[in-house]
Amino acid sequence: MKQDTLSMKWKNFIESRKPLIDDWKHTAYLWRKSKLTMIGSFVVLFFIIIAIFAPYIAPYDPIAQDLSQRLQPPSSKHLFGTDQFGRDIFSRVIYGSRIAIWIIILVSIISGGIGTLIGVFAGYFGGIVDEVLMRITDMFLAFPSLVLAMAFAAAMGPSLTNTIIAISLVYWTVYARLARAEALRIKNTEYIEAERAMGASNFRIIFLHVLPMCISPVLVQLTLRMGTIILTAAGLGFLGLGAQPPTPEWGAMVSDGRNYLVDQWWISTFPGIAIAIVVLGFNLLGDGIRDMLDPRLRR
Amino acid sequence: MIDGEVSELAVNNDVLVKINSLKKYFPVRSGIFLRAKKYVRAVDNVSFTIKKNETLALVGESGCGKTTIGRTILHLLEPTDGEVIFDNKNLTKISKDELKELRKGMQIVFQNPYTSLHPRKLVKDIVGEPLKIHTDFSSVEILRRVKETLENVGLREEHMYRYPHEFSGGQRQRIAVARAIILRPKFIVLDEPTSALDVSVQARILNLLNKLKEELSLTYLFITHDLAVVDYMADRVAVMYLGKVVEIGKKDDIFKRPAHPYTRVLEAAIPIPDPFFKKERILPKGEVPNPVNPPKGCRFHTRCDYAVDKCKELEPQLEKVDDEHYVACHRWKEI
Amino acid sequence: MEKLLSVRNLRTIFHTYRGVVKALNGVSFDVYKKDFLGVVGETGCGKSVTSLSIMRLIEDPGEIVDGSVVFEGRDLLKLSEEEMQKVRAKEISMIFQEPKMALNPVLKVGYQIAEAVSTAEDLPIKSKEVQEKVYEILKAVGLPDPESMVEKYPHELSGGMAQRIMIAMGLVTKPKLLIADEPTSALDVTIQAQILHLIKELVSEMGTSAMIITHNLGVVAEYCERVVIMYAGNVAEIGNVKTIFKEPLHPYTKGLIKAVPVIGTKGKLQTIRGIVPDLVNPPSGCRFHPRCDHALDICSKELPPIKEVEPGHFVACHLYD
Repeated sequence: MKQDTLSMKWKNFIESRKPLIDDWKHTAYLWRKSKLTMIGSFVVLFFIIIAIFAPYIAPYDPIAQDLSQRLQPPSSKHLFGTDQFGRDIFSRVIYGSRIAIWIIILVSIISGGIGTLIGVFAGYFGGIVDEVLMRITDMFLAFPSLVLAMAFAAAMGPSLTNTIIAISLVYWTVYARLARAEALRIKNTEYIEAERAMGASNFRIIFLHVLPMCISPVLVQLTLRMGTIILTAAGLGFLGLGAQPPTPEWGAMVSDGRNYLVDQWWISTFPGIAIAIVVLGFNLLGDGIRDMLDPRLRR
Repeated sequence: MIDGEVSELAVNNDVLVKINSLKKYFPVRSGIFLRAKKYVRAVDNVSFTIKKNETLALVGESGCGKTTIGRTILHLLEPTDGEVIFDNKNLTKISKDELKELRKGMQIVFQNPYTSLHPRKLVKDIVGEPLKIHTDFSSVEILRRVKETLENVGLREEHMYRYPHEFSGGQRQRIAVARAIILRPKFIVLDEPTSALDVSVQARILNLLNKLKEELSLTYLFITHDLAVVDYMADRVAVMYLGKVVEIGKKDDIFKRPAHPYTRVLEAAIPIPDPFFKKERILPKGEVPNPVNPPKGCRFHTRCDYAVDKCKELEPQLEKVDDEHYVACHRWKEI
Repeated sequence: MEKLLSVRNLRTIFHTYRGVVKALNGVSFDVYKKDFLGVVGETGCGKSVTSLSIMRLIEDPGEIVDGSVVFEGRDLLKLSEEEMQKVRAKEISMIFQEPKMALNPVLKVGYQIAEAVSTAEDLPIKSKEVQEKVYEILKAVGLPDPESMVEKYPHELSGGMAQRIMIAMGLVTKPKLLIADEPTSALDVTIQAQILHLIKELVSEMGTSAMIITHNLGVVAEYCERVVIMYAGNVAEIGNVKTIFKEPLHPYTKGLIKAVPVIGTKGKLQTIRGIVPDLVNPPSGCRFHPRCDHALDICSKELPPIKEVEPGHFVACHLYD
């Protein structure tokens, strides 16, 4: 008897997830059809794997100096050569992926979270709440994002944490605008009106009905922006406002090699290539995801 | 007696909903500073009652204010002026908590079943939502009631675990109806419930609505532009034109003895699916004026074949034609 | 009666992720000269796809795979795109449900009508003749003050006026056939009556044939002379409107007519059980058989051919073999 209800429950569970599974199958089909999206996904996947297994892949300690090995060109011993302190650039690039991913995750969570919440509240309540929140957003949008991030980073002092906070404070505006537009649209749909006719509270409507509908466009935008986040972080690092030496941050590494660019090109070039490839990967993936979620292509 | 209860005394016990000089104006924003200068008078001084257990049909063309009235009665829109009395309580004068309590008794079914159901929720959650808001039933109890209600509207248990997009238009409208009746309300606003559906599906939904009305002793406000559907569903009919009720009466009075020229034009304009049906050939003239600047006097005078000077100056009030049959026209006796 | 257009065995499919949608499954019917034909059916029955296929306006992922559309002796499906363009410009006109979407929002309506005339007649757009034709047709479609009307942009028009402009554009070239796809579904009932009257009047004046696509049986009963009833990509029944309403033969037509409330209907409305089939996996044989109360064994096996049971009255049903 008990077995029966359990298997019933399991059956219901599977049954209830069937549309979701079909949806995923369809997504996978669209994914396979787009070569560029596949390339982007593999680049990003490769990047994530490298970040996870960095200690096993990197042959040297990324911050250990070995002055006897300074400024070595790429060779079988040092794949990407060494820098002015004799650190192995290959190992530093590998470990740099961990920093990059850490920045991406935190910035996405912080800016995505703040932006979505502010946008949803502004869009749902409208009127004065909307005016105040959106004018604040406009203020942030009035500055070029890198300049604003630089100002924050300079004011709070250069460090990895402050870089993350600075980038988050710049990027939440994008998600706020997006979530607001989405909330405005959803607020006026009939199923939300039906919800109000039932007597549901604003709190219930926002958190159970409006917010979940705003999340997927925000997620797409987050993926599309991940490349830019890496670029901004690298830019701050390059200017010395981001992660501090000896942290193997890609932007800072490019900056380190500036003085040696003519003779020891490898110091700046390899972290630069890493940045370019990963940004490209994220952009391809982001574009692909946006296309896959485009309702016109889905049917 | 406090203020809010004065009008209650006047309320007859047979009456479920009463609206008194209801007005709903929407500001039209214009100019650089977005100051509201003009108003769309969507509903302008409308009064009528809906008796217990009857279906009152509200008919008119788009922009006549019929949908706004439905929304205002349910207090989804705040009235600009006037009062709505539901079940002897004045909705404009009660607290938020009391309103929430009253919402159990009144529900709405929307026109488009493709937009009125949350696309990412399972049917069991959509239909069970009113119970979650108003009761503290256990999830088992909620499931049991959802199942029962779905069976009531002609759906099956296995439909509970599906998303709205897997259903046809008619089935979705059944889900919307199930959601509306699960709290056993007294009153349902049906806002063009079948105009997005195909004819063969429409018939089934109309039959379902009539069946539920019997079984659950419901009262309907049926908003539509289709007079043939009105004839099939309604007990009484109110005809609206540009924010005003121009004629109200029992179904037979409206169809057999229409007094207002607009009602006649409307009846003549509806194509009848019967090539042998002989009817008056009146071709309506002109177009519906902009509700921001409605014509002075009788609002229909610009399109009326019988308009005289008086109609351009003086606004007609509802006059009694017959028992329960009222018309707002200066010349109804002559024409 | 003389045939103007013969559609034979028309098959149109759409390639989608879920599979091939067999939207038209061998549609055959005729349009006569000076005909006023209604094509009626429910959502997804293929009535709009039929009109788009006749005009060869089916775009990827859609495809016309079989059949012929013979218009005055020429098979439109075999014409080159250029020749077809000429047919669309001069001989067959089409008007749509949403007039405002069919008009170019940044051009004055006068210019848009003049453009239609100049392409069809091969006259310079600024010429006097074109101007005169534009004024003439604007008066004919009941738009007062054509001089100021030609200066208007589409957003300045109401839905009814925009549809009048579309009719003007459709008829200014004096086509032989006018196809109207749900011309009044987006309009109010009083405006709908005006527009349908106008179409009927103009068409009979000009001797043009008209094909009105609609889901509204009322429109068919009141305005059309003949009707084609479609179900799930097939023609179910063709005939004179009065005959079809009085003595429908196909079980689907019978059900459809009884399902619509008419003023004065008493008792319960009759309904058709089941739902419209999915055209990716349509039922075998007659596509209506799972919903039909009179289905025979053969109905699930063979698609019934359309045959003439009495002069001018065609039905596709095994009950009348």
